[in-house]
Amino acid sequence: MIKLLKADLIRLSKSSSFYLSLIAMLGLSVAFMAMQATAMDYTVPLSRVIFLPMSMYGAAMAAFVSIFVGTDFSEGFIRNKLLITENRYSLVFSQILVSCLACLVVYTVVTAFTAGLGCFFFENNVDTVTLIRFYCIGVGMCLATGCLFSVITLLCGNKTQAIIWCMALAFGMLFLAMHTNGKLVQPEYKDGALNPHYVGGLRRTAYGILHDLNPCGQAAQLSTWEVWHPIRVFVCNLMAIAVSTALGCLLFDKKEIK
Amino acid sequence: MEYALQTDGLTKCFRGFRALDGLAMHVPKGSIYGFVGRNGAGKTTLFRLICGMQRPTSGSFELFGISNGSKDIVNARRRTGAIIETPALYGNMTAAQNLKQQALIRGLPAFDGIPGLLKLVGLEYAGNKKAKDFSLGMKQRLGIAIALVGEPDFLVLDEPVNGLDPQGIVEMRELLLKLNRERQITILISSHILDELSRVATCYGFIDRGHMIKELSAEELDATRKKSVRMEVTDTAVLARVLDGLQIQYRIVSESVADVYAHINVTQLVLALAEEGCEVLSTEARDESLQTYFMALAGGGEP
Repeated sequence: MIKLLKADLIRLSKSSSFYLSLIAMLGLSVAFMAMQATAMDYTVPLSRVIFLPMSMYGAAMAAFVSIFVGTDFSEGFIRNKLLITENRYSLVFSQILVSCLACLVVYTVVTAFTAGLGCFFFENNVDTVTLIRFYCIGVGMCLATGCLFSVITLLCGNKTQAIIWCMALAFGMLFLAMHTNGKLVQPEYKDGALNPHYVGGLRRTAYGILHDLNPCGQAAQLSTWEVWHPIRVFVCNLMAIAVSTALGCLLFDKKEIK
Repeated sequence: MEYALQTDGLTKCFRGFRALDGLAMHVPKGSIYGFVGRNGAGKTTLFRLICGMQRPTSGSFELFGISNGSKDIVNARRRTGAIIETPALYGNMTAAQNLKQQALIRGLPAFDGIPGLLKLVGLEYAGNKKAKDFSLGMKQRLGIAIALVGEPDFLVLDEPVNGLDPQGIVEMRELLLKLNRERQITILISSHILDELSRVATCYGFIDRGHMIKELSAEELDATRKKSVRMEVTDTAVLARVLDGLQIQYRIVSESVADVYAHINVTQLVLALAEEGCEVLSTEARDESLQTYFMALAGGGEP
């Protein structure tokens, strides 16, 4: 696996899709900051800006991971890897690890860039401990995202199909996060009366888990500087990574490659 | 005899369709094995099974004496280089970078052999050119160079001369012969250009609908192939009548051309034809081509 990992890391360092996705996220960060600084008629604190670009992180990483991992299939190099590798699990692990690493690099660079540049334009209300805590939650989100999209691409076994599936899933997750967020932010009481849109009891827990399982839901929480259940988010990410890796290994092991 | 590859009852089914149906095949070590069959006969499916891209439905194969069910099959596969359908290379990387990728995957400690490999396949001038800018022939050559990284003992080449110009085909032939003779690499090669295949192959396997219909050495094939004399005459109807009278086998090719399958006395035949008012315009001694042999074996249809 180390051999595959080394080869894939070198490939990543030469991957134009990786640099393009990084540049796109940095551009998005600038655009979001410009919007927040100019379009809002109230003072926006830095805490509401730092993770704002992460709302589109899922779509950007879906595009990058499906292109990067899918290239092995479209260019046929997967055949050379299969011929040499000791088992297919090591191939799955190496693809997941490199995708996760790339996602982590994009996330870290974009967050550092937004925080660094945002200091000059927004009121700095960020305390370092919270920033580190939220950054760590974001790391889990990155790893879950990288893991999920690389496994989908490996199972598709076709670059074009993988791009379509990953992008569809990314936008599906984005809309789902908007929906669950809309439900969860409803106050219980509105103007002194019970809010009919408020979701309580078991349904609230189910919505909460769905929101925490969804990387876009986590991004929504980070961008509002408010993570309701950090432990649950951590567990959800752990589960997403474990389940997608296990499924990836099992299904890819049986997959017929063309 | 030692075999680099042998299969026993190898079967692969796809949703009820038998791409390989009990294939029995024997590739002797050190040979160049020409694998001949029509489109969809099962050649590429076999290559995919050997390379671990797919698993057999039933039956088995052995690579260097190691069964596909054994854990050691990985080690046998590592002694193999392959090009299946299209050369596997990253378009956004240069030729040298592609070779480095393969060297990394194989876990080679150094990249010293890369210039030598580029030279071997005639790409020494293009090491720093991106593979996406290569012509098809250059890609094929780079594909072979990639397959040769790590000095494999067995090369599996699926249509390696596809898309090559005449010069490229000759160079590929010379390269394959050189690899076989100088490095003792066993080569399993499939091609639809049978004339070209017959110039390099030392053994043949003819496959049809997933079955091995005939397996033989080049010498055996030479002995089996019918010798003939192609005759151009003014009237093949007269020629047919005369040959029938002499009880000689023949095949009418066109209105003026026929193949005669016998060692004939030309003077006697020419005189007999002249008596009937038929002139002989030309004669040419011919060997039955590999293509004709295959078509006769498989019952018509282009390979």
